[in-house]
Amino acid sequence: MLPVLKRSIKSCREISSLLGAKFPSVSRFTTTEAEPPPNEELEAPPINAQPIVLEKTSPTEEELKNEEPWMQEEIIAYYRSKNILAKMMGRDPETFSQEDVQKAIRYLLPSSLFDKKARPFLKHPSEIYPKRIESSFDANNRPIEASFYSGSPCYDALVHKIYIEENKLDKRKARSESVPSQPLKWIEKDKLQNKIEEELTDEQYQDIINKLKPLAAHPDSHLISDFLDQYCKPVLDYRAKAKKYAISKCGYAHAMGHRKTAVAEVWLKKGTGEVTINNKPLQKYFGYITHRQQALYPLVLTKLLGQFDVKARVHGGGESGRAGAIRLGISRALLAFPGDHGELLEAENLLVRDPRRVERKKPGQKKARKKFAWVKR
Amino acid sequence: MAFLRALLKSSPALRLCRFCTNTVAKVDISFEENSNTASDIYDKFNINEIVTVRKLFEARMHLGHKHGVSNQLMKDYIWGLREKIQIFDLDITSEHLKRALLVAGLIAEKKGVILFVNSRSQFDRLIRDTATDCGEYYLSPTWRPGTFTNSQVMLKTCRLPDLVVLLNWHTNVQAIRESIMCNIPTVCLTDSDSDPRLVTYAVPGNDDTPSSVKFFCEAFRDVIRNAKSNVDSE
Repeated sequence: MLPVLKRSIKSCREISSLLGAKFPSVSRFTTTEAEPPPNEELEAPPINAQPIVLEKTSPTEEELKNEEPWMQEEIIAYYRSKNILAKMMGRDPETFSQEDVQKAIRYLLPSSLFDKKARPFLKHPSEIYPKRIESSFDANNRPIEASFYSGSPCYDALVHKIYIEENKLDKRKARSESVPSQPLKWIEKDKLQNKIEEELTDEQYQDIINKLKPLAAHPDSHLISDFLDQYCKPVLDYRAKAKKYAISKCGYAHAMGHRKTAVAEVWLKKGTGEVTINNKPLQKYFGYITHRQQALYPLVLTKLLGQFDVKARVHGGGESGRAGAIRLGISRALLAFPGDHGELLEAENLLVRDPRRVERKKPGQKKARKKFAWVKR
Repeated sequence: MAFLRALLKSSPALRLCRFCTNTVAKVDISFEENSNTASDIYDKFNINEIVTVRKLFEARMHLGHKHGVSNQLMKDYIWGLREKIQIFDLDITSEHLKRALLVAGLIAEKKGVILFVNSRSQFDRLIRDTATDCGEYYLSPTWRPGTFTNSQVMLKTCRLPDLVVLLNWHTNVQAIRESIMCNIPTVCLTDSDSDPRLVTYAVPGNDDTPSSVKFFCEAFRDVIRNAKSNVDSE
């Protein structure tokens, strides 16, 4: 018996065939299957008993109405085999619930298979077979989308749309003329998934972005800007960034800066060149000269040292991280003041947050790269 | 043993075939009966004009592989050797292609589903354009194993195509095998180094040159369009 049960038995018909094979006496019941069991009126339930919920013994018309013919057969066979099981267990089919069905099968067809999904079961066909999605088929029973059979139709349709847009552009032009490409911010994975209403893998997402990039870099990309604008927008340059920072009524410009795990909050004001960090003068706060140079580098670069008062509040990170955070904060706050500092700072890459972080420690090693001391024998 | 056989009969893997029978179109063409009027059959979707030996030659359909890598099963379709390259007999090729086109046309006439399968990124755009131009379906460039045999999970449906058209044999063996399991006829461009046994309608010809593959695709596109316009006009 056991080797037979190793394959998963999904259908009620299989169960009935199994039962028929193991218990030949079942044929007695199958002969009566054409006539559904008569609906006898139940006697009044005994006092102090739980209210009895009547179970269905035959499929209703609503169940069969919108189903395909093979599914109708399956549903009818489900109720038939359920009634047979109830009679085998000596129970009334009208009070034989789904739990009882599972119990009966566990008793009649004991299985030692580890995976519970591999054990025999009897369920309503609507729980076993996937529901057909009506919206993806038309009146002639044909799928609507041309990429239906690829498994991820929306992704494939998007790729095809990109190809169509690509054909509108001149291929040779892209090779001969090279235009300095504007930095762009591409759509994030979550938003793209919501847009096409389908889950994407990382590879698929990267594939789409890689296909869109040459389109955006093309000299004639303005022709298809309606399409491209859905998936990318230009990164703000320093002039747009400067709008964020403004001088308050007291004459202070406020900005935040980050480096490693340090966070700095900087206030700039025109003055005599006093620098205080966490209510300490610069020289006392940073012991090393490199850190002091680092923190004041934007002012040195723009030749404004001695014209601004700096107040900063820093927390987190170590000394060099804090110095870098203050540097970013000062250079951002400088944008609020009139003048062409922006271009100088942009050229030195001082307006960008350094994305580098500490590399993680690896198991089997002492640090990120350092190995344990090891001697052969 | 009888009990085992009964169980196997109703096992899910074998029962899959039953779901595939809800396909719309089933065409039956027998050539031996109509051998005298073979050319008349091919007038149906303008096939005789679409496929001629001259057009096949210009598309370089006659070029095979070097004779060292040839498959012995393809030797009946080969006319001879030239500079160590096998040359296909284009009379046979055109007959096979016409027969495959007729099948595709008849299926399209009955509103059946035709699926174009490709697994080479080189022809990705070609096959997408071909399928969408004639209102059919494509699967490119990766075939996920189990697309047909496990369609209830992969596609959430039991509705499978009525005909599968493949651009080459080598990279599509899995697709051919699955469509056989599900009782779906296949059309495949088989080069001189491929195995035509598992393919229902094998078309011997060159499957490496872009021009020949393009000719193959365009022929199917035109025939399916003609078949659909016939139905619409009626």
